[in-house]
Amino acid sequence: MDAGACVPSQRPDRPSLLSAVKIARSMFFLFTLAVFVSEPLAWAQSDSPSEYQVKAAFLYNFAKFVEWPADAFPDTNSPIIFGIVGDDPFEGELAGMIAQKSLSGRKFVVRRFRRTEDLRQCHILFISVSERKFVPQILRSVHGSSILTVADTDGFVRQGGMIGLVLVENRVRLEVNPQLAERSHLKISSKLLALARIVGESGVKSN
Amino acid sequence: MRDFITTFTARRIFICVVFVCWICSPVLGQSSKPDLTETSLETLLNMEVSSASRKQGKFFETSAAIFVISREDIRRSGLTSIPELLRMVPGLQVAHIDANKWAITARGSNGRFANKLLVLMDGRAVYTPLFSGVYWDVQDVLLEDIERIEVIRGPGATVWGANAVNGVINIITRAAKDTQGGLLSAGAGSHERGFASVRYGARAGSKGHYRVFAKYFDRGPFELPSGQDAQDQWHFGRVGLRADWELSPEDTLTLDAGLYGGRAGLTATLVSSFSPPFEQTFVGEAHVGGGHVLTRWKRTVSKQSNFALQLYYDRTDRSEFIQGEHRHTLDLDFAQQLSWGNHHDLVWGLGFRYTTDQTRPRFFAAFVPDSRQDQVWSGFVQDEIRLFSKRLCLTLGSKFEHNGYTGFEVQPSARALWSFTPHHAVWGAISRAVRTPSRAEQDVRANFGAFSTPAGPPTVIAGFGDPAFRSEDLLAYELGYRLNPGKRISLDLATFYNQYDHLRAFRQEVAFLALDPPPPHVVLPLRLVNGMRGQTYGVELAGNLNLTHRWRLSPGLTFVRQHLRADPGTNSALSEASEGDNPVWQTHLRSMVDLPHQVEWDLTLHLVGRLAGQDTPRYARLDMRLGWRPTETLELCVALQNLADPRHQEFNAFPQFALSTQVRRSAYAKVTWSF
Repeated sequence: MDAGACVPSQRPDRPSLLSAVKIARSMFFLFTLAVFVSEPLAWAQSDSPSEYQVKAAFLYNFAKFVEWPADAFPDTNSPIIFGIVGDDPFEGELAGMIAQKSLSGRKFVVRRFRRTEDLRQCHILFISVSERKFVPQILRSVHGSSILTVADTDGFVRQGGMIGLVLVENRVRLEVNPQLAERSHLKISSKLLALARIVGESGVKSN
Repeated sequence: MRDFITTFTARRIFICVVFVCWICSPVLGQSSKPDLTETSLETLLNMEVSSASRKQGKFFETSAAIFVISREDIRRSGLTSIPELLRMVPGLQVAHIDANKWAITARGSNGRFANKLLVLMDGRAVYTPLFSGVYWDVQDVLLEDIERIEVIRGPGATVWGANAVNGVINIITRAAKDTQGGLLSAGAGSHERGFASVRYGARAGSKGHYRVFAKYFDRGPFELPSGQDAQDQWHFGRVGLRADWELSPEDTLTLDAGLYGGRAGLTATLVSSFSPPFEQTFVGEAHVGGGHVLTRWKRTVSKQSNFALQLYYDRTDRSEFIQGEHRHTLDLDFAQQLSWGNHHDLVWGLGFRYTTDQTRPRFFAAFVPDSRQDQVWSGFVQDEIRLFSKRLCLTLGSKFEHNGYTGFEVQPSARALWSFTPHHAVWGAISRAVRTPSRAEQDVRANFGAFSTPAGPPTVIAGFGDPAFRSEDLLAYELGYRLNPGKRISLDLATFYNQYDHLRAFRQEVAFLALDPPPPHVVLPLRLVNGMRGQTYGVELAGNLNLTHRWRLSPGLTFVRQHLRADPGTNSALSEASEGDNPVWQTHLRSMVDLPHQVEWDLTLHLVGRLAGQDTPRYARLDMRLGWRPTETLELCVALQNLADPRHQEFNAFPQFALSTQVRRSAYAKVTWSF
């Protein structure tokens, strides 16, 4: 019955075209308004930190709660070097966070590495999730040096890493293998260990 | 005010202000970040992080109308089946036909055998080629094991292939290593007369994990308008297994298998003879069963390249009044992802599917031939190009398919997404998709009705498939906008205009006299032909609002309108009837509140418009759930459903070959214990 509404002979005339322009214009206005209103909203939302902000804060804390052997630094003022191998999941956040900080006279430096580079030039090595397939290979390449290995890949500590950052119900939890750290002459403070899930040698199955 | 805004200069100033705000926002944003280096370890450990941003980021950057049902959404809905969960997706139309049958579609053309939706469970296509529809009663898993349900409205044909015309539903279960340990859950209530499930997961050797589960439910009947019980109660049992192995750092292997069986009651009035009284009302049960085995091998070749090879076998058995179907399906798929240069992300794949069926003729309907084998060969290629420091993303691709019904089909699409700030994105797409013919459209004969004439033999109205039936075509235009200014608010708006051609219509053909089966009768044939065009347009809106960290609101709105125009020579009344099988307006609001002492209080209100083509009035549906988690391993909950009215009808279209019954108010209680 209302098939007439669809008959092409009733072509749209000028007024409807004009109103289409009007609608488009007001849509554009609303749209810019949305941009205008929502941007301040976005700034205001800082109540809950992002996953990698918290993980960066943990890395900073590891520097505080881990003791390196004296020969890990050229002299008493040389910086503590954070290494990130692979894509930077912190998006520069880590460097920003620690830029103005120092710990008993040592400044902090963040260095990015490619997997193929020599990774032994740092004190804390964070293995990015982008390198998850190469974790055993990377761990082998730093074996025997006093480097604290940290990652948030699945089963990192079981694979032979020292500290794993595990996400459980939207909270970051720690998994630590203290024996492994000890063998690399790193002393992890008991305060840190008390808050972590200890993974023993028995947990080290592969590699 | 309006004059002021529309003057050229004022508008320019306005745009400049917006632009400056936009440029400044990252700088200002930086300053408000808290200093976490001064935070104690204990506080850091207890700090809830917004890990969702990365995942959301992925969906935020999708140039399609996508909605994701998360595990939390599933748990807090209090719903007990996959089809019911889909109600929370804006843009989908979900309606109960009877207690165990649903009509589900996206963007129009709803019905029990809605044929433009592709449903995948862990990569396994679950629609039946017999009707191109989905038997929703058998699509189930342990709901606790679902990682997420991704729903893409609009054509997904480029990657997913034929039948992904109006949408793709992708049900993804959790990896075996995420479901370790035991889970026991059981409950009972009025409609949910009793249900129980058990799952156990453990390590499989040094490199893998597995889980096994079993599930059973017994659901009660709905009501007839008279208030009596309809005979549509149903009960199902199901067992399943999933195992994942990390064979090497590069290789993972997945094994997924399942087996199910059950009975589903229904009432159907069907033609049962060509002499009076012609029709008979059958009350009884559909017997259904089936199973599947799937293996998938994924390999990461390098950072730039990975591939997956998947093989599955699926068996479906179904016996009911209108037909019987036994089907075996074997499917092999290969897909590879390649990143090259800084801008390109290429996906391509090849697939082969073999399906064979054996149908059981009934007086009402029969397939000729009664058994048929079909092969589908397919390939696809899609390139995602990121330009202007990844702010603009173009996706170009096409699927190529060869099937036994229509031969070669090409389904290209072009999509673009522009995220002009990190919080806003607009996207648009133009795609072509086809809905390949179902077996019924080429091979069926169904006796819709019969009556006696005063003088002469009885007359039978019968539908006939046509071996020349070809694919239905869609050309879809989509435009969407996303706003995601932070954790508090997000908004997803999608609009579409779909142009269909060669849609299924009924053509009345010349009557003829048939002697077999006796008595001699006149057949008025209705031939299924590609004789209809149509347009569908609509708006879909999904929102999310975290009012406080304890209260979340999720509104949704759907507007869809369909115009069908049958070609001259076809029966337009019958062909265009499905136009009125969708509500024009639908809206819902979900509210999730975390009360003290681990108590959760969740409410969902749906308002669904009337179905103009049926005698189905508009209705409201109100669900409530009260949950309590006294410990991390124990959850108790009470769910009250359909509180808004004592009973209502949701769908009653012709022809669906089952009596529509009415949803009733119900309640159940449930205990879940994980160990």
